[in-house]
Amino acid sequence: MSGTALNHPLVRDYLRDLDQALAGLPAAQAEELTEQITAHLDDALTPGAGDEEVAAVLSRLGRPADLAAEAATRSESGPSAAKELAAVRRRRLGWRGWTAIVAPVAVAAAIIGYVLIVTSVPPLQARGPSSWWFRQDAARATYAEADGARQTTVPVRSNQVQGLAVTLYNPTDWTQTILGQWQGSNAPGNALRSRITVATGPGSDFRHLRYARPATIPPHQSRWVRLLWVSNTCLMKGGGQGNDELRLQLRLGWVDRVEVIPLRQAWFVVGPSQGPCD
Amino acid sequence: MPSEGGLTELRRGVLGPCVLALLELRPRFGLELVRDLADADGLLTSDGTVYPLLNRLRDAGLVTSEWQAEEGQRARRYYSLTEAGQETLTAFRAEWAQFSATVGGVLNHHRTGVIAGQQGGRQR
Repeated sequence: MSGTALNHPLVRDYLRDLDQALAGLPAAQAEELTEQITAHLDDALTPGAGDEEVAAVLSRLGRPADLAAEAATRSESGPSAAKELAAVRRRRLGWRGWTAIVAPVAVAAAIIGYVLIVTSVPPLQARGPSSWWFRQDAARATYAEADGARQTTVPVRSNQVQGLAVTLYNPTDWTQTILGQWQGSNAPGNALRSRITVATGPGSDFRHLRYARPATIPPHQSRWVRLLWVSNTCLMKGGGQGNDELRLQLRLGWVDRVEVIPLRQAWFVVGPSQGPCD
Repeated sequence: MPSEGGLTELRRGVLGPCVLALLELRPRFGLELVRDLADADGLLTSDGTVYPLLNRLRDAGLVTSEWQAEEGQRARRYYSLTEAGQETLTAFRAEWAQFSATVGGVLNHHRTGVIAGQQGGRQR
């Protein structure tokens, strides 16, 4: 994993341009392609890659607009993705025109507009690498995929601390501050003392970063987010509990809001293979 | 003369079967596929185009993908050939042999005719 290379300014610019180029595609299709391109860059770039190496890899990858056009040819029957892309652009033009008309409104309206904008910007996205936090869990994790749904599973370690780390990407032009979990725990099962923290800076070696809360994710950047809990469940053989989303309380500017962030896979703990636990 | 645009279209047309052929040998992850295709000189115009293609092949049921994690490495999405993909590849191989023989025959016949005409002109 070369998370350092993914934080190279040229890579960040490329992924931001890709994000914009794919804006007109269906969300799932855009997210999948972004994940593939990010993984490609993660594999292709050596840690600490210099400008020349990064530029060469990005050049071979192709322009974001060309990738978006290629992806838009995915469906050739019915309304094509290319047509949808053009329609979205037309709609955006209309929105901009509308914005230009209402720009000179009174201060009160501007404040309301500010709140509306802040609350309508897209939420954080689970994008990039993720892992079980503890090596013993990562070593025993199994992965499965069916009907487009992915799941990673580890044996439950009752009364012990377990955890996961995911990369969250901020696709907005706003700094987002993670304040905490919303409505209790995001941990799988009936966990105790669930606690979420955010890496205070970029980095690839996620187990050796510094974590804190509240902590910010700057615009168009990613940060590791760590969720630890004490497993408080005793599962029969084959029984499992899991979670596939994070419910977080965040702050944008001076507005607080709740974001429900779908994870790229479900995180499951299952009962011991030897039968019921003590 | 084939234009660059024509060659690009030709590459696009054959890239899918080439991906299927590589996956016939063993499952591969994205960058592996890209590098193997790039080794075949002139086949790949840009690395990124492989991924929309893989998604189209998956939607068509010709390939499938699953996440696998090797010790000490992050999980990667590995692509593999489905039974339908194998059938498609087998059919394409047969059609391609016939097609390339036909095109080759026409092209060589055409070139021979032009050269013969030029030589005849000089003799006069």
